[in-house]
Amino acid sequence: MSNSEVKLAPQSQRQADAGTIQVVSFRLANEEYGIEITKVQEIILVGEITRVPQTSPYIKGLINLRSTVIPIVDLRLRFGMPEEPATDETRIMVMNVGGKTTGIIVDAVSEVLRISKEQLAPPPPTVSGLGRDYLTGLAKLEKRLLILLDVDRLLSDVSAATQMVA
Amino acid sequence: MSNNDQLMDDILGDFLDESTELLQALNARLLQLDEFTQLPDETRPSHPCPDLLNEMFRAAHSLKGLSGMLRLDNVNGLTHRMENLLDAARNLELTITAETVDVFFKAVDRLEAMIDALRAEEEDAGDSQEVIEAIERMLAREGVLKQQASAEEIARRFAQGMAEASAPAVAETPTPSVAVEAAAVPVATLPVVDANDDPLADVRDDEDVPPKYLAIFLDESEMTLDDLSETLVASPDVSANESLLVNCHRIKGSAASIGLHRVARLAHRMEDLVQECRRQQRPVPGESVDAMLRCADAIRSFTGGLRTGIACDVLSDAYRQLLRAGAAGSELKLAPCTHCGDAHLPLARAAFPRNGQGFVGHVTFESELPLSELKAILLVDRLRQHGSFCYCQPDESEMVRLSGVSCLTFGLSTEESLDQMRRTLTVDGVAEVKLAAVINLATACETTAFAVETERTSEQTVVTSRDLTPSKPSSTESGDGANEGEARAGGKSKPAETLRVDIDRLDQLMNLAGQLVINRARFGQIGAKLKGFSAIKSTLNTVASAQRCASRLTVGMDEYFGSQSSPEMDELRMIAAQMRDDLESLQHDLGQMTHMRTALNDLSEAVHQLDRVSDGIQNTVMDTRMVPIGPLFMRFKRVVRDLTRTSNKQIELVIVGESTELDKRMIDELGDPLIHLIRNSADHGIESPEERIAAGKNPQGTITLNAFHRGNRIVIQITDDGKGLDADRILAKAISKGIVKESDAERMTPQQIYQLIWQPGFSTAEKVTEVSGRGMGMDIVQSKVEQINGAIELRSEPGQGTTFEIKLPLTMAILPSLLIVIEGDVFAIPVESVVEIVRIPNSEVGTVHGQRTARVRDRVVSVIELNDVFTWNQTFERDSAPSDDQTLVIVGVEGSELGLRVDALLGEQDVVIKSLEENFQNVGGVAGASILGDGRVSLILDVGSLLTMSQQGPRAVESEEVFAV
Repeated sequence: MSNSEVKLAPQSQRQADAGTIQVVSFRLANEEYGIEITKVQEIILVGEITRVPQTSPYIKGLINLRSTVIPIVDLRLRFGMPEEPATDETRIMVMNVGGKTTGIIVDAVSEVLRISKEQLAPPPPTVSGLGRDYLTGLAKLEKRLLILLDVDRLLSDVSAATQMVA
Repeated sequence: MSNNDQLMDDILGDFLDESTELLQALNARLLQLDEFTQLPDETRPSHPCPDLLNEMFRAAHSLKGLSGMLRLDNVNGLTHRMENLLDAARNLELTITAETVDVFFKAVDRLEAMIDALRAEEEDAGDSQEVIEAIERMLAREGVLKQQASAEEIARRFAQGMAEASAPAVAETPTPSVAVEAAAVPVATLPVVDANDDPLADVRDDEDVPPKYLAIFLDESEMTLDDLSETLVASPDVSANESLLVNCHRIKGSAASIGLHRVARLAHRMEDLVQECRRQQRPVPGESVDAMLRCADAIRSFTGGLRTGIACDVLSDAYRQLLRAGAAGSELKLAPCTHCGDAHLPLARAAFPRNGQGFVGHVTFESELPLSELKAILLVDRLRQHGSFCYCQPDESEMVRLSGVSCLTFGLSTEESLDQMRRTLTVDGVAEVKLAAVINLATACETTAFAVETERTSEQTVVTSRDLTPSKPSSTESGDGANEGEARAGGKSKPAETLRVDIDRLDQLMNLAGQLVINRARFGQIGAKLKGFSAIKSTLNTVASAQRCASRLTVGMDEYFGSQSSPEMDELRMIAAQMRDDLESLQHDLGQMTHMRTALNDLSEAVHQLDRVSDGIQNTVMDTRMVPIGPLFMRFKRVVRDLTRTSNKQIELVIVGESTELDKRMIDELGDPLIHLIRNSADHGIESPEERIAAGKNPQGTITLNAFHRGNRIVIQITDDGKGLDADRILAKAISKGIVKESDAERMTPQQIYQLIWQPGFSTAEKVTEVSGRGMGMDIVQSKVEQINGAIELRSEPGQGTTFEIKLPLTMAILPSLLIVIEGDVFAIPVESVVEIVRIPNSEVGTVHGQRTARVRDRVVSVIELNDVFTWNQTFERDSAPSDDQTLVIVGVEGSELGLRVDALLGEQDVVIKSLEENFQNVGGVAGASILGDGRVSLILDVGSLLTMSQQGPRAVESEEVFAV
């Protein structure tokens, strides 16, 4: 079943120094994203997901996380990317946003990074469409770019959108 | 100050609890009072039962006291007025009329609103001024407003209690004006305490303290006493006065509210003492602390006695000590006599021999009294007739020489009573007499009562009493008292012990119990799986026969080939022998495996045990959350009363089964729907008296609230004997609102028509009355009931009345369910919605108007596939092979039925309901999720909304679909 793979340190120890933020970076298709570490509760393996009717397609269903039932969002579908079958690297990142616990499926979780303010840049104006609303910015690393996601908006929009369905 | 804040929070919580109870009590009594005013004049006694008014007064007073303590000025002000009103009523100064009761109802409503606002931590928006003014008008009209001095004065009077209140004031400054003020205090209630009397003799505890409340009181008082003792032991400073005061008051209030008046009196006295210290901005003096600690002990052993059923009454002793200590404190502030400074009193006291008995006294003569020395000598002579002097100042020989004596201090050994002494001293020319009795009890308990008697030439007389001798350390004495009390074993029954628990903790416990249920199911599954592997016996037989074959083979080879010997033969022989040996050891090992069978049996027994334990835990946890529905029902008495007033109908509310217990959370949720249903019955159901008479019914309509158990469910019925539902009007309305098509209308049965009232946006009331039609439709009632996993049904007979029946599960968290499989997904269907399960051949399923229907035992049931109503965004290939038969689970609510085709049945199981909303959102057709034994999540089907969805058809559902992507 869904075993906890990475247990993150308690929040108090994750306090980033002033001027730097800590992000968990993950891969989705060929892009690398980052989510602020304080939003991430834990990272688990993908287990069996119970599908739910009358919801948006990107809601994969429900899982049992230590006796709590939480919904799982497929981030690929959420961003309008084609669905891929799960691999050994596929993970569920469990988020705590707005008092609700939600899991998001990502292709792979890479590492925890410390990013200083200087490395941050606003999202390029050329990025448009759905993705842009949920970007807080870009982090310029040595050889690559990290897309920082605004999870709060991403997931609160999930509930808002699906509530209309229900 | 966070400690203090915490304390205040705790107190506020307690206040809210307590005030809710008090308000309920007030409401209940008020209704009785209301009934009293409704009686026809000729049969009505001129005044209601004094007990009733007394109880109400006590409730109002407790509320006032508690709110004053917490500085809730609004509540305090209002309760204060209510108290005035009740006081006037019980003193027969005010006649209770319907109007009085109405004003009172308003006041109670206001209070409820205020308490609710406090609970919700909101600003109270309402204005109580109107009610207060109404009460004041009423009091003024009845001419009892004179009772109302300034609010402060009254507060002081009540806070300081009865007997003791006026003493210091009078003694301090015996001027006419003060005397007048003191005279305004009801003199008759001031008891003269003779020191060897039981100071609590005039108060009696109520005979029948309800054990339930007693238990609550015991818990509460224990906590409060702990707090109190803790504060006292830590040698309190000025800042501790507040918390001491609160604690004393709390004991007083709760003791009085259940009728333990003696404890209340004692606590009251303690409170006075602290209040006095607080007023003077000084800490509670040491001796008072000792005495209060002793009082706390006394109350503790008294309540302990109540708990164990062994009476232990040391309250009187403690009270006496407290009086003494209090007096010692207050003595310091007594204004000394203008002439001699009272310096002689202690001397007079000291002059008494050990074990002496008598009085010390101080007599002040009127100023300007001619020949006062003569008067003094005469007085001394008079006194001498009653006993012997052991102290006299000025002494007789001195008096002769003096020209004019202003005061006289004496100590007199005598066995006369206080009354007698007072009479002796009452002579012309004496302005004031202070008398203190020196008592020698057989137990060597030394107690002195000091009675101050102020006499003026005017006819106003104020008699007060006060112990005034410094208490001496007397630990042995209280010990004796305690022992003595404990020895007096009474036959009182032992009340149940209770514990206040945060409901969140109970929720948590319920949750854990739920997980235990899940795990138990999982164990059951594992056990069953293992049982499947236990075909050991046959394996053993197979191995045994193989082994026999092998040995026959070796033996046969020996016989057949006899003496022949070749390397090949030898090798064959060796292989055969090896095979035989291997099989033998295999057989042996398998023999060992039979032990596993025993172990397996052990396992299943253990699982069985686990079953029982988890059932037990589940039931016990459920039981702890159960509270009787009575108080909820009682609230509706008031509702019906108000309705009767406004609607000109005569309605009686009959309550049955108020002791039926329900989950606390359910009771909380049921209030709104029930009020709505009752209003509905009163407004739409019950006819006006004229109509009723015309229909040959009793002009008074009856609404019956009934709660009872039926099977594994709790049923709440709201029955009225009114005109019943009007099918035609409902239908007309439904058509006009577009709920039903006209073409369908003709075919509907009355029962089907009645069900239309559950439709959203349905309301038959042509005009919105004050009562119903406040926007909460029957659909809201229904959804509220469904939220707590209940179902609501209705039956109606034209002209006979309507019955609403709410069926509730015993608990909100655990749901007995039928587990089914549809296309690989496991779903749970609440067992209570399952009508039956049938297996029918495909040929029995046909279509009517395109709707698939099946004939099941001569009735026609429409059949649906779950996929007809559910829209999945992920589809799986159907793996079930088409078969000749179909399994249908026939589900139904409120009389309508539906056959749900399922692929497989997994059996019945208790599932724990997990809200989808908690982390996600509600989903149509799904009541929630549950976790199966194997850890998977399964959805619980919401039969009610499935029915609705199937009627609307899949199209309707899909059209509502909004895809965000």
